Amino acid sequence: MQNAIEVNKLQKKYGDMTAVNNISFSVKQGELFAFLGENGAGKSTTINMLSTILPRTSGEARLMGHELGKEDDLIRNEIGIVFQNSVLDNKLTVKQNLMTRGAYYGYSKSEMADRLKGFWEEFNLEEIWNRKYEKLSGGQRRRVDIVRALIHKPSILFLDEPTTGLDPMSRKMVWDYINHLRRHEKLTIFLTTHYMEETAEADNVVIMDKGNIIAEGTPAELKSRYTGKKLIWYTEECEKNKQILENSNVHKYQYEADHYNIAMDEGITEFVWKNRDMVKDFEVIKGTMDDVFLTLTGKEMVECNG
Amino acid sequence: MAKLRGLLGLTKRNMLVYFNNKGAIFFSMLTPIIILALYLLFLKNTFLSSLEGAAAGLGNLISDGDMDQFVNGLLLTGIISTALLTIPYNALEIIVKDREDKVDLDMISTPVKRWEIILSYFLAAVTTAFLQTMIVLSCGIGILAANGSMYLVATDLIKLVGVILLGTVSSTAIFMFIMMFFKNMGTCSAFMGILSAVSGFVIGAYIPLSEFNKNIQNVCNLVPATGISILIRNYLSGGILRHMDESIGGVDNGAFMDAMREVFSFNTYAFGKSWTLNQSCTYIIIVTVLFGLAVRIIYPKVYNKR
Repeated sequence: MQNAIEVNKLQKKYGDMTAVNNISFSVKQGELFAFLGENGAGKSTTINMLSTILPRTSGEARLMGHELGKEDDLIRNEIGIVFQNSVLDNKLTVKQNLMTRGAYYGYSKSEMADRLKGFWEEFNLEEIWNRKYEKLSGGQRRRVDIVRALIHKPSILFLDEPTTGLDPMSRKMVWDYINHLRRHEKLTIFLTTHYMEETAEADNVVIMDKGNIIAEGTPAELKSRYTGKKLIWYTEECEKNKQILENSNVHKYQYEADHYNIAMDEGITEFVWKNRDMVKDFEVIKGTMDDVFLTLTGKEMVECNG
Repeated sequence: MAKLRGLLGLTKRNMLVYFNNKGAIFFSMLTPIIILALYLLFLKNTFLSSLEGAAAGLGNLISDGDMDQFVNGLLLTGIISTALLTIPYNALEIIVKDREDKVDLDMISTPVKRWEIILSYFLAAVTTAFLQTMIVLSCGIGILAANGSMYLVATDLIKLVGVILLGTVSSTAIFMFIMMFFKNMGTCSAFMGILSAVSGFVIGAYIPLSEFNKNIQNVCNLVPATGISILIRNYLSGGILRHMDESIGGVDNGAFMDAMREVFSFNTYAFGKSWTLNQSCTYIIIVTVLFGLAVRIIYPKVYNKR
């Protein structure tokens, strides 16, 4: 599969401060690519550079084969962006917002009407078509933001923290749309987020910290590389069990209520089988993306309230 | 046509945002409304007593109705001249608001050129201000016509429309330049407060400029808006002034008309020299072009820095 985005030693400096430090990565066509990091890690700066909004200090990038800095107009036709904060006009209706944005790409009224037909049903535009943007709920606004980003049928969709500040239902709805776009439109989706659980469905994840890429891979690879497994062993707290744990290859253990929390990487199956007479029940829990981030940066990410 | 659609779409969007914001429309008309209120409360009587004092030696050659219409013409000049400042300013506030809300990033990420974005703000403000001021002018002339004749001839009306267009273009170019230095709406609103307070004095709406000392007159006459107000005064009240002169029948050798032109600032004086209307017009055009060039050169750099 061809690369939709190729980034080579991209850098952005503001005076002495380096916001993005020589990062390199690639995104395959049709991939859901997650860009992970805390606020200020350099995610939005990277998106702004790739979307031609912000000039880069150095480095190279190609989007759909077009060279950044030399073929910016071609790139602008290939990308759609859902910004972190909405960029549509509060006082205008959904119709006015979308029709005027369509003109930015050179579409006439009738061409825009044709294009919007495709979104009409899927994004339930009819119910909000003549409502002012400021009167919409958070989820409805995000829905319109996504349609705005897609009106010119881009090949790459940048989603800059699209679910921040949304209630759980709206977040689910936004993700339903994203998944729909992946399945039916075969769009390359470049997602930045600081919600760890949102990266679970990504094909590839890049983790940034202070402008640097500190890890990349599939969610499964990152979890196995940077986190261990946890065994929840439902049994009684007694000397015998303590002895068993002391003599096994566990990293650490702790008794809570009715079970031991046991951190161990290898030999979980053997351990459970060997001590099957002592066990009431058990669970094996793999590390989460939160654990990955914690291991890599020593910092915990923002809790997702959904 | 497709190439122009981006520019037209942006212009339409800017105008829609302005006309959908009732607060902006109200505040753009606030100073003209204040001038109207002050006029009804005491300014009219003040102007009329000066006029009656000057005409005292002429017996009953000048009718009360003509004097009334002449003073009404001065009021309408004040209203239109301040509207030509406050309407373009309010229409241009969208530049700062878009920058503050990062709405301009959405424009920059599309194939529309940076100069098209800048031109669209300019075109939208000029169109908005021209339309709104023409409505005020039409209503004003309509009300004055119901009160009696203004002795306006077709050439005066055509020149009035031309001056209003020049006034909108001039104010828009100057304010666009000033807006470059405003980072947020707070500063923008503070400047609007100063503009509202000062504009009525600078253009001679509250007190004729001839009442100020020479230094202040010199400074005020260098402000293009003052030149515009002098041009409007000439074309709007010139007819009734000529009619009053005809009523006198030449017994004063035109002394009354000359005195009125001096007292109510029908002439431009700067640094000891009297400027003809054509010279005033040329000066305003030169200043407008210089500010327009500054905007053309500096603004794209502002957007490239985003």
